Amino acid sequence: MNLEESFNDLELAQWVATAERQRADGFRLVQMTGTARDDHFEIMISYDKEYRCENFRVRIPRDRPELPSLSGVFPAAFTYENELKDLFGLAVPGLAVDYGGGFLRTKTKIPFSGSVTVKKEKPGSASSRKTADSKVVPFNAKREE
Amino acid sequence: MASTTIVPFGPQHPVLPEPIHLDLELDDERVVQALPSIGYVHRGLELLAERHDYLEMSQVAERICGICSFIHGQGYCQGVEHLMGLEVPPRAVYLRTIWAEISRIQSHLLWLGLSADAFGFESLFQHSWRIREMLVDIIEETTGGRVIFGVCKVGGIRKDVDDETLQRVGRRIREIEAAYEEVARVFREDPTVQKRTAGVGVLGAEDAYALGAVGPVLRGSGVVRDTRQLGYAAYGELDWEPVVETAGDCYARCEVRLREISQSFDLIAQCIDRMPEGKIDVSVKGKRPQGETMIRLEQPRGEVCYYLMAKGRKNLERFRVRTPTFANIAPLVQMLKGCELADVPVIVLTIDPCVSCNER
Repeated sequence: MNLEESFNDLELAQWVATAERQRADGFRLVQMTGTARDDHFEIMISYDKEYRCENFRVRIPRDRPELPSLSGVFPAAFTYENELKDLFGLAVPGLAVDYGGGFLRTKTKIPFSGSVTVKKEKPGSASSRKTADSKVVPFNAKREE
Repeated sequence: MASTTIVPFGPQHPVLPEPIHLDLELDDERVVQALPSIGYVHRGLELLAERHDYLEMSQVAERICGICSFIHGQGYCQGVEHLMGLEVPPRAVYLRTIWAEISRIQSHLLWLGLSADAFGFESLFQHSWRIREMLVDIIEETTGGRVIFGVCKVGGIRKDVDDETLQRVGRRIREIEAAYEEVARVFREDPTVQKRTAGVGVLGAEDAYALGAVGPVLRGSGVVRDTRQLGYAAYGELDWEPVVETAGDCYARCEVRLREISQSFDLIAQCIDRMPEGKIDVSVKGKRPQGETMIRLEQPRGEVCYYLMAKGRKNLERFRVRTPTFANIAPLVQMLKGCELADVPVIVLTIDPCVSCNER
């Protein structure tokens, strides 16, 4: 069964070195996940080899939301890192294919950062056509010129 | 000096049932590189888990996608059950396995129809979907739903299937399998299908593994990896081996799905033969999930991962789904490099893109 899988905490400085070690050991990249906390972001990465999954987690402070890119180690990391960038607002220096925030073309910008509340809009209202990037989308907001 | 042209593919395109966009950089008719972008219908369902009761969320998890709906519900429930230390009764486990395999067959048949339509074989599309309809009828008979099954819940299943119905389903499955084999023969032997798919969109085994490909994309490139080998649900007690092809082209990915359909018919028959007696659920009254877990299942499109974290409250702290389509985006970019523009729709379809899952 796959239920007893390890979760290991890492220092940010070990992030790239761990990926390089996992790659050298024949692991493949399974996924990267972000979680917004009050004062930091948790980024978790999973590697798999012969059905054994290992998970590593780092903390990114909110006042410096920056995660070194792993796309030089695992080319497929570019999709996950662009997703983290678009959903959580992280900067990812060294990203091989950087969409500049346009990979996930969500209406609400950085929706998973932990402070976004989106309210339903009336169909056809001016605000329903506006790209929402504020913390709260006012119900009857006027369209910005 | 050579110049290239950028051609947009999608988000609206005849072969795409859901919106995904590719910027294709072309040198004449040849693709130099492809840049995908997604997010047109992103729903933020993961955030709902942080605000809703964990029992209600199984319904939402199932609505992540209309094709792989049941397995999303199953993955969510397995995760919560693990966090709560629940032991699901064997009968519920076997019924979940049957429904998961019916989901796989109907999903693959849906894909076969769409791909036949993409390379201009209209009657093959109609026959694939005709057979799929028979599977959907079984889903309706056993669960009450046709798209959303609604039977999976934390602690087991909501609805039992009596033995007489199971035997009837077993006989119907064999009839459907016979009808399916006729359609599969056309996919295997018709020169039109071969011409459009063989040698197109080749992805080698090393690239597939390094780029994190999953499901029929990975197995079509010769890598033996099927998440059901972990032995979750009843898979650890059934006789089966992962289906693998080695050519790595669109035809190999098609062949993997064709063989997996036959395998799923067999797995359903095994489950019916070995169906345990007993309860179908355990009580969760007064219990709440606590801790974190990563659950991996095999969707029709490949490995899906669910990360769940809970702190003993009525809602989860985090629910994350990494869908197979998302994992197959990077391999898709690799497959498209160097292909002809006319082959792009067929190659895109062979990863079986499920944007609904992707935009959870």
